[in-house]
Amino acid sequence: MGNDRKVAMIAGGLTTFAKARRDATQEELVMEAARMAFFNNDLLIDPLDVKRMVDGVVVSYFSDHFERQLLFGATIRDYLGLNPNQGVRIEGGGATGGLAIKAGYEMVKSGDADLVVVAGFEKMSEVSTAKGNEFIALASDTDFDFPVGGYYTAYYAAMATRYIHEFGITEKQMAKVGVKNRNNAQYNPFAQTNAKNPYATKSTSGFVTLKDVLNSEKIAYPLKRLDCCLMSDGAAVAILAEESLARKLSKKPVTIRGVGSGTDTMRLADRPTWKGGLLMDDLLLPHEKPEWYENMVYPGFHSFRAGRKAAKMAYQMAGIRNPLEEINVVELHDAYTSSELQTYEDLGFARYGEGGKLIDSAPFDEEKGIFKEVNPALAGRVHINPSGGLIGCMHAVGATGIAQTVSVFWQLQEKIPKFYGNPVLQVKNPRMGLVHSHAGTGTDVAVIVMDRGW
Amino acid sequence: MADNNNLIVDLPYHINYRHSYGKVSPYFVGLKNKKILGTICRNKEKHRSKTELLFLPPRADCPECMAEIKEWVDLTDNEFRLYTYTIAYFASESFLNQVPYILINVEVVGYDTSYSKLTSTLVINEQGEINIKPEEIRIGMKIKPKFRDVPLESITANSVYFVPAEKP
Repeated sequence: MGNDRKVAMIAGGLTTFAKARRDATQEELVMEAARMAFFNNDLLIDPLDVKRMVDGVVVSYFSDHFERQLLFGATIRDYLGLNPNQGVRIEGGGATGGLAIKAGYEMVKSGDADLVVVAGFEKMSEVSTAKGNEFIALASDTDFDFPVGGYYTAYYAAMATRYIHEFGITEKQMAKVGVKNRNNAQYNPFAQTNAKNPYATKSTSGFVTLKDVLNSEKIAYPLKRLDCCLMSDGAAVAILAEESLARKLSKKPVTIRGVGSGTDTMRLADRPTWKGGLLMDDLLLPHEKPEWYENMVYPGFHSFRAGRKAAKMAYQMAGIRNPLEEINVVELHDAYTSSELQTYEDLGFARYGEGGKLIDSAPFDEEKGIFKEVNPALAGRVHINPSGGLIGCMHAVGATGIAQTVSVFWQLQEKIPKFYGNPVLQVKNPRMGLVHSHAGTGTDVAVIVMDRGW
Repeated sequence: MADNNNLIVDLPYHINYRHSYGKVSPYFVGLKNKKILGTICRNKEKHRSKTELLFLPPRADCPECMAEIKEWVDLTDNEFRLYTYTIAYFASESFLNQVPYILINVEVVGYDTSYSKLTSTLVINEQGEINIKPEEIRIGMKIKPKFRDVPLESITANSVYFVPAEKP
């Protein structure tokens, strides 16, 4: 693809995530993450010398409504002391962070920059939860869908109802995702639901069982509160560099092997329901057979065509033939437990319709209602959302895709014990990682594939 | 509200938008006249699906062949079926006082409805209509439109809703 410049990640930083970070403004949160990125990632030269080499900045935040400050990118670049470098703000709904990483990749890949800071944040606590839901709902069609009572949990719930109808997925399979992600988060000190997080409240933190998820408050049938992602305050920062420079700055640069993104209709209502639509859109992955899908309606309301498109692009660039055999660690956009199962299929970890089987592949203690191991390997191979994901860790929208990338980056560097203060969530000897960042009801999806560059 | 370290103040922000429905205005005027109007693009040879495409919600321009669409079809008495649904127990701020309500997508029978699964609501306990329990709702069940009497200047997509047309 194009030139032979390669792009690597050399550092990442996070804030502690919380429902409300009343102790800091947005720019102060970004500084908290940026300070960690520059000073805690074992860079080989003085971090301030690295900072002086930065020649591009990408700022990532979702909503002018939440922030009440337009042109916030200017504030962030200024506050981090990164003027007068080139800069751009990226916005793509829930996929904002993933698209920002992709934009940073492109800045370096194109040769426009050698060292780029990608900084994302969101502060969602300054309005009520219902108002916040409304702001997010304004990222759905405001002429036809929002005015009839549409909001995101309901759109995903309507999708889940149809997903259950098409493929026989169960609410129990969905709930298992909630158990996995929330319990993983109990070992991630950055996580909003971690009981030891100093900002956590007792009622919204701690371990959960299958029963807890299934019996949690109904939000939109079939989704309950513990099937749903969080709303968070927080920030995340990634530093990307041209690969030869990256090797001079880090002992363990992580190479970005593939990036991709895909899109779909703004209104869920308008998703094509053509039989064989997957083949019509040329979305078969190398390990799949056309006959699996020639009679399947696609994307319909059960699948995210944008996710499949993004994955196919990233896999082609990275040379991945069979994701389940090649990828060890994944952070994917679990906006809802149902959408995590749907995404297994879009990413090719399970055949379409078999996302439920993939979660069932991990040994589960039915009596206790928890997985036999924390951070279980699905199909004995792949660890999905070790950080706790959007359900257990955070969803501060503009930070999310970047925080996911930071998590996969530390996993590949095997630095989870260092940053989390315990080794529980460290995947053993990971070679290849994937980040999946998703917006709307699948209107925009970005996928990033990374491996060890050392 | 304030504590010693973090001063917190209220900053209200009110806006009124004078919004135009543009070329799909006939849809909203139709709702006032108790009609459901869709648009249809008949350039089937230019569509990847090789079908005529019905748009409900309407579009004034076809995303498949980029033609301007001038043809409106009256779907009021067409057969409608439930494509999918959810029961909302929580909502965005403007709808909190209406929970629980049933949000649905509607399938228009007899057309290629790939772009046409209108988002609406289902009311299952309306007087004079077929009443069902929430657990009786079934994907594929027949439903029919009903209209709210709203002044034209405040008409929205919410001026139409659906009720069951059969006992499941």
